[in-house]
Amino acid sequence: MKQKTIAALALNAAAAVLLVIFVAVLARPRGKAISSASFETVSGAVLSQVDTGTMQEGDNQMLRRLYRLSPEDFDGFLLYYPTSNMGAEELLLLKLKDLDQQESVTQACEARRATQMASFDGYAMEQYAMEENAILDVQGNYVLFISASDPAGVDRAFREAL
Amino acid sequence: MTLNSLVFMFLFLPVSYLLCRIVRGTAGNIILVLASIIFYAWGNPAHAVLLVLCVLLTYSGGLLIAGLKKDWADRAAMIALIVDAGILIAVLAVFKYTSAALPTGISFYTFSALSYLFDVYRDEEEAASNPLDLALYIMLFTKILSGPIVRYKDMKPQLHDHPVTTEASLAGLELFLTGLFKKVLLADVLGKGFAEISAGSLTVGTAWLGVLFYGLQLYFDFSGYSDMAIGLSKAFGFTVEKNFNYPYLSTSISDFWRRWHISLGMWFRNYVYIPLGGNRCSELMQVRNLAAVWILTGIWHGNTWNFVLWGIWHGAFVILEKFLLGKGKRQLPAVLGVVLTDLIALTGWIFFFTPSAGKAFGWFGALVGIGASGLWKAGMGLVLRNYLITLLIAVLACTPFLHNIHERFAFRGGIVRTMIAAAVYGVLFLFSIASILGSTYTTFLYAQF
Repeated sequence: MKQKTIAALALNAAAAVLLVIFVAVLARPRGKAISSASFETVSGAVLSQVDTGTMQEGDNQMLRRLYRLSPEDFDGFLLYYPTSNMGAEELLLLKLKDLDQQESVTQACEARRATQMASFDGYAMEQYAMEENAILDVQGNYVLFISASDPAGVDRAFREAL
Repeated sequence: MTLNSLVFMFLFLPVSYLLCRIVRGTAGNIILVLASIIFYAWGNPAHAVLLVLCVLLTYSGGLLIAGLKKDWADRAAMIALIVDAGILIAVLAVFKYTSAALPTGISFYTFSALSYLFDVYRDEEEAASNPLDLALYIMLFTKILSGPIVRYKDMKPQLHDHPVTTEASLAGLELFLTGLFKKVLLADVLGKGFAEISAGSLTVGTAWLGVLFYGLQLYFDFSGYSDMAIGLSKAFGFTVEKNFNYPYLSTSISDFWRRWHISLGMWFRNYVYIPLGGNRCSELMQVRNLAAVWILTGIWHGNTWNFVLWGIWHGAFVILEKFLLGKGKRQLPAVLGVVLTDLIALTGWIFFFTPSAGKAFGWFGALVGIGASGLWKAGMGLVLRNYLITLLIAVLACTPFLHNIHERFAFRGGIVRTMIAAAVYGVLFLFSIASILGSTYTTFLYAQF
């Protein structure tokens, strides 16, 4: 073999080894499984279980305002929030870019729930109970926060879609 | 970073464009490769490292295959091809079919890399001696996220001769904006309509409307992206062939696949169908070859049974057309052919948008009333009315009608028409930006594949 081919073989072998090691590190199991389901699939499944009659869809600004989260940090989000101040129904679905975001997102959802509970505490028992029963479900790269009359049903649909 | 994000349109694109206008030749190519790495690393830097390693493996693999063929034996070159192609496919499989986060565009850039290695092995292309050439071919930011999947031999002549001219840039900008309008003003709006339609219980009417809305959304989403990618490539001096050619006007499913995601169809034709024998073998073997292509096409799209079923769905109709209905179908009036093809293609997308095979068959059942909660859902009339104009424009845009009007009047025939066209583009661009600013989700559907 000529020297050029030998050099190509050495470079190819080195690239192959580096690639295999890097993929092994990158794809190592971390916590719960990452879902490859598309955002449309998951959001469609979740929405099919939610009565959005008392909610309105939130945009980028509402995500920032209600949850202090930046839309560009996520691969997708779906937000529905109450049409009136006396409403407690709320839906937030997030597709994370990185599993490291799980903690900050969990804190943001808990903070939102705490704010809502504080505002209903003492005079709107039904809404307070709804917030209390709200479900925050972190499943790998997807996060669901649902405050509704049947949050468990929505969560079931969420998990089935992943 | 996506092609329709504000940071791309208002920061990354102008800066990289200006740099490429000022700096030419090899230095210009270095800037383009660096810009592509930054573009790709924006969402996840680790995935950019993976991309660079894949390029390095492909580059050295090409040199090794060519060297072994020349200095030693074909068999050794074939072993090198199998090892390198195997590693690239294994990397793709790890991310696509396990729980690991899928690097954006990996299916597209892996197929570009594989086509290069196959072409070098088949002596259809010389191995690139300059790593920069191969890096630019695989990484070019205009097409890395969702194709089109270009062959190296088509891009090679342009790698050192892609002048960034004002004329090409304006033509590219026109195409980029057309794609942006398709994505933001049609696909995203239809996507919202689809979400409203598919929420809650399914009736016969909503099942059909859902199929129509999703089919149109997917088309404008992906063809919009392709227009943006081809337009941007043009602006940077590269000619990339079109990826769509009015697929919903196809008169058969085989015709549909010559018009939808053309570059993927060509890839499977060149590297799977023809090497297996293509149509130069017995009918039984031809059926096997077509089945292999369609099952692989389904698997390429995703890791669920839905995608395999979708591949089988299309493959079955292609085989049926070729061997059983061939003569009879050619006698059908073209309009009937279009209607039947659209029916098959649109209902086939059910496998795409449903989360499981059971849900997909449930949706198919609802189309004919099985398991549906009635014929029509209250409130759907209002939803339909809200989206009627978008729907009509979308249906018209599936034909060359709007394009022909555009070709006849826009930017042609004097200063007045040019000014009017520029104003229309400006207004639509403002609408698109407003929509992006207020939207909740603006990524591309095909980026997930």
